[in-house]
Amino acid sequence: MTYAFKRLIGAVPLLLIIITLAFILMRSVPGGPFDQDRNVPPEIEANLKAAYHLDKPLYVQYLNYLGGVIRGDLGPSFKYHDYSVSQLIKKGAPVSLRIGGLAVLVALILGISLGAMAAIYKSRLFDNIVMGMTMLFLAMPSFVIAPALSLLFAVVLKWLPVGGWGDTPKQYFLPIISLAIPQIAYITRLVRGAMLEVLQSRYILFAKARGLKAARIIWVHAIRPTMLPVVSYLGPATASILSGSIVIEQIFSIPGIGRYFIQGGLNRDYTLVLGMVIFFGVLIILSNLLMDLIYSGLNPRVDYERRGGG
Amino acid sequence: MESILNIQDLNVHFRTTNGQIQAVRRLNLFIPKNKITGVVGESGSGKTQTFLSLFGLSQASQVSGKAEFNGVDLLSLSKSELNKIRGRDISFVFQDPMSALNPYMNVGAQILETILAHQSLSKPQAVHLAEELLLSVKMNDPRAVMKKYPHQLSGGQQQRIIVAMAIVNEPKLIIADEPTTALDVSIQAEILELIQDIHKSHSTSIVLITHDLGVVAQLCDYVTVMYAGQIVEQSITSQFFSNLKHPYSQALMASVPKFDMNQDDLFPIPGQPPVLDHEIKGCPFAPRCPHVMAVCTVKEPSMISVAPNIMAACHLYPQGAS
Repeated sequence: MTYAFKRLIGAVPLLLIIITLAFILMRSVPGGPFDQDRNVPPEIEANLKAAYHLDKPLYVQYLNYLGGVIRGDLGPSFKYHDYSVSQLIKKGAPVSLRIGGLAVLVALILGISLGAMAAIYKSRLFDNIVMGMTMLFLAMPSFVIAPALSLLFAVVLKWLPVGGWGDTPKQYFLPIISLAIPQIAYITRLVRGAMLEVLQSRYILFAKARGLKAARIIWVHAIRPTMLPVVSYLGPATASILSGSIVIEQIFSIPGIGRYFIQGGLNRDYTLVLGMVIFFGVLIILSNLLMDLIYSGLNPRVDYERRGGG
Repeated sequence: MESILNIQDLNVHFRTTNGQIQAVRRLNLFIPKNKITGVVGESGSGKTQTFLSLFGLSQASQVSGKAEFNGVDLLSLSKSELNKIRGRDISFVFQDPMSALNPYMNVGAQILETILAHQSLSKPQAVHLAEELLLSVKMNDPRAVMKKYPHQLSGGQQQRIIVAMAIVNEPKLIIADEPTTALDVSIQAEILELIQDIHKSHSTSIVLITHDLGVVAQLCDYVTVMYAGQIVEQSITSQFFSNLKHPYSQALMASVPKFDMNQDDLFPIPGQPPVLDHEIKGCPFAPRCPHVMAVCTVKEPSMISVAPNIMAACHLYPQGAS
């Protein structure tokens, strides 16, 4: 626990840097939140800016914002009137997290089983097919796969809905699969490579020499070390699925938080974009921490607690 | 004399990027029951591959011949039949205990699975057996040891655990492949003593693969010398060291450094062992042999009895009828 706590404390300056950079970047982009409102008289625009404290010097705004963040207040959205940024995140996050989480789960289950089977049947037909497919899907980003799948399964075959959310569980399939496919491909290759290496090791030979069943050798002896690179990859994978979901939500018109990111950026909705950056930052930091904890659980030779205690 | 393992005409081939390697060639070997047999020879002579391939543990592309073990021909068995024999009737002790134990599992789990794979015991019974076993290989506090991971144990302790796993199902034959090579000299003696104790108390047949002629002298009842994938001499240990028959055995013995020698007195065997990627004509040792004759490069010598309890494959001895 002390290790996890130390890591969380360590994440605070990291988050501060992220917020600062996002703040600077957002403000160095030309335009402002009210530029798109047509024919706003200068007096009213000045009033609007004053209402949102945009008339203050930049560093004052920055410090005010930080103060708000510390109190848990991400500020009001400039564009979605009547909503605070926190409310928007609360509304969209459950949907996005569900899609992202299920995509990670699907990627893990399929990636691990396909990778392990490919390693077991190395250089046989199954392995060759799987390796060919992963190559293909690695080369295709989610935003190419999604419309292609949508065209095939929704438009031509009419098996699944084209988009939408909340009406039928069928609406889960396409977005989750589109998000998961590149990750499945990557994890499959990762698992296959790691498994092949593990199967060459002396302790697998010794396990065979002790007459253990093949299934036990694979799923008890070989799987743990095979999982280590996968767990290491899950941190970056979470990040990539999150950023992928921004596009996927747009394609399948899913009311997640991805669209707030895009809309917030286009509208110069400063607080909304910063709020999203903080939300994603915290999510990625937490998932990386979780993966490190799982990693040390899998590998008895890594003991963060003891090392942390010096 | 009864055999525990009788190998006839064993061939083991490997496919490599440089073509086929014949790691073991027409090998005949008789392993006597209830005895310790030493198998010596240079690296690459096929010592390890001979025994791994018999039990389906080698990566060889082709294994052919006959190997009668405990009344069955090992090479005619299916994978699952072999798997039942491994760990139960035959067990292995490998060279480097650190790499033989799975670093991600505690040693208790690894001992238990070895028991439960072959004996129908309840978990508590298996735990009890494992604890007794650890005491018998002189590991104190077995309960604590079983919770440890391999990296938390010393090399000597690790090898004791490997030995414990090797005897847990009371096998008929133990193959110890250089069991002490990776250990400190002081620990080596302890492990060898342990192997000897096991042999005495259970009269288990043991094959001891080693580089070390000293170990052979100390432990083994019989000695088998391998060269280039074949047996060149087989002898009873009591006579082996005083009556070396094959020129390779003589050269091997002469190359062992002694305490009272200085540097100039080292006698390495000149030349290199043959590369086994082609059929060898005549005796494989001929190019390095100080006694080489015309016949040696033409005709392969067969194993013949050259003295009581000693067989050798060498043209120096009259080949008789064969």
